[in-house]
Amino acid sequence: MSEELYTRIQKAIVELDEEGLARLTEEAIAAKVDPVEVIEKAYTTGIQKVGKLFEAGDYFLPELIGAAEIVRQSVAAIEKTISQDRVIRKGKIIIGTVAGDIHDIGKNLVITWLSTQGLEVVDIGVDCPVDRFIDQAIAENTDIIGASCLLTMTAPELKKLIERMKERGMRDRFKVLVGGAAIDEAWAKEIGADGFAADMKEAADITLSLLNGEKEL
Amino acid sequence: MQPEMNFLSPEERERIHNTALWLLSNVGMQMPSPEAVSVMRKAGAKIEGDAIVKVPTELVNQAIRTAPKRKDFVLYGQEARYDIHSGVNTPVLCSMKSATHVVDLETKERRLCTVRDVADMVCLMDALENINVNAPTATPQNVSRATSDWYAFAATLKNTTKPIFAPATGADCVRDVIRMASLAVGSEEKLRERPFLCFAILTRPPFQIDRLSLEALIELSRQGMPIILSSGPILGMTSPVTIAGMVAQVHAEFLACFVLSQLIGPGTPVVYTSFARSMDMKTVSVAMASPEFAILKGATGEMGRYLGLPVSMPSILRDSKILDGQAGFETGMVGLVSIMAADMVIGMQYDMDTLVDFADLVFVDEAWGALKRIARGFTVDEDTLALDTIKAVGHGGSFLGSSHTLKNFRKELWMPRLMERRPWAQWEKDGRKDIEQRAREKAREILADHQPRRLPSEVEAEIDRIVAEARVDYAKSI
Repeated sequence: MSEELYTRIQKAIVELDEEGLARLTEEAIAAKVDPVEVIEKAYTTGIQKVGKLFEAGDYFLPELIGAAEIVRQSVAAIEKTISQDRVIRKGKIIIGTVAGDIHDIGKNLVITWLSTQGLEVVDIGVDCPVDRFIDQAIAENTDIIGASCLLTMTAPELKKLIERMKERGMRDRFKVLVGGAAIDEAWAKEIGADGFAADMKEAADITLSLLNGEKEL
Repeated sequence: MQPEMNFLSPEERERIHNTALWLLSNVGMQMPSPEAVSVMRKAGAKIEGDAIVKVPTELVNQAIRTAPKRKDFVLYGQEARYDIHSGVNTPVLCSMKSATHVVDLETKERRLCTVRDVADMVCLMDALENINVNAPTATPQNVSRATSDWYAFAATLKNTTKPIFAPATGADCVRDVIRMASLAVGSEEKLRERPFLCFAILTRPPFQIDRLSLEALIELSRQGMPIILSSGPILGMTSPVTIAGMVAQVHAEFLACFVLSQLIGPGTPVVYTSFARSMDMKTVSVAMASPEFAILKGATGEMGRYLGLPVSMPSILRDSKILDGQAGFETGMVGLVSIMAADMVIGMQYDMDTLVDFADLVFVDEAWGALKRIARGFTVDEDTLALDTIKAVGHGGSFLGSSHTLKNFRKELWMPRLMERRPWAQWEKDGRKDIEQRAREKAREILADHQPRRLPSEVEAEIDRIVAEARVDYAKSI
């Protein structure tokens, strides 16, 4: 019974059927299926299918974002029915754009994609001073700090972030993933970041491998 | 609205048409076929000298009345999903015929075309979504030259179910092509119900048409088969160097043959075309991707529309020798003007239409998608103005997640499959491939995968028999 419901949920996600998915989510809650299992086997699997279609070039950005949004709504509804300590995530990451930079399109795309991969993502917004990254990471108890910059002149903020983390004795507590059009892998390495991602898919791949303790740079 | 591109004002179109009418009744067209002369004479044309036919205006007006209008022109596929309805699912892209050389898919060497190449290229074009009309884009050189068009057509017929732009090397060729095509669909009646062939007839400017072409024109008109009728002079060589004079000449030559087709087979579909070209005055090469070539497609296309006829234009015939920057520019420049002017664009060759590259077919398929997007324009209505969405998204919001975007982006945005739009790093990681490499890889993939419809073996054998028995006497054409 559950397996069949999971398949229908996956199908609704892939077809971007918002109403259908809302109905199925109600059905799942009413049937008292295991929330952790349904999230993993139905919703995460469904969104991963959408991700695969996107990677293959069959689906495009609005479809990816649309699917992510309906999944987010459904998962939020299911999570309401369970106690917080039972919510299992692969990891947690905060993401923001550095001080002096208000570009958020790329950052938001990364957030959307990450949140479809079973990761918990906290958006700390744009124009973030380095201490805000560190304070928020402590407050949210994240695994990774993600920092984005589009403008060349704001790239030194990333270096500042890592230096400030060292000053505050936090460099070993959080991994640092950087990205954005102004920088490249060589710069990320030079400033001592743990990972560099050129696009949202790479951001997700590297986040997952950093969580697995793999060294990226 | 759909965008338009005009080179002629309504008054100028009228003036060119009237000039052509004057040329028809005063200069006339040389038609070296007793049957053509006899038909034209009976209808009221004046015959002078060596088969010079002077056509009165009245016959032109009568032909305009009997020929199918643009909106009524249909070119059928062997499968209904490939049917082309002029003005509905046009503009369409068609392969030009009769190149002699190909760029080898593996070695990239330029070499003579074989029957196998024809089959492979037709198979590739059968798979390519934006190529709507298939054709023996090159003629095999490893068979009897006199009947190479028979081999070319047979290889085409065996490898596609799309409409076919077929050779018309004289009346015998037309008859044999029709016989072969009838075998493919089961009977001549079935072919006549849904004719999936079109044939090009070319005049020999200035003001001549050779006998073989004339006989093919007569045969096609008798059979009511779609005719793509072209006068294609060369500026300053076989027409005045001035574009206006050439367009008037093209129009007159077209009308002379058009009148003959409608006298023999009233209602025969005739597509207005002009292979008008320029010549490079330094190299003496015929230029098929010059800016003048583009203007000529636009201007002659307007004359075809003036008559209310479907319009086809040869285009995307690159002067460049390979798929490079020059070829890309020529494809875009001439292609854009042509797609605005025509219901059908016939092209995809190089080097004075003698050379075809497998990779280029894939490239043009992609480019045509982009050109079609421009030609389609955009719609202004309540939904596309998106007032409610603009209000809902608000200041500084994002339209990316809105249902309006989700609902509309696929029809509003053209999505490339071959063009590189990723950032440098990703492109580099994938091997720094340029468009030619990507297109070549795609061509290989398609050829390894695509299975065109196979005709029953006894039908193929019958087609091969017609090819083997074909005879053509080129001496008659002079």
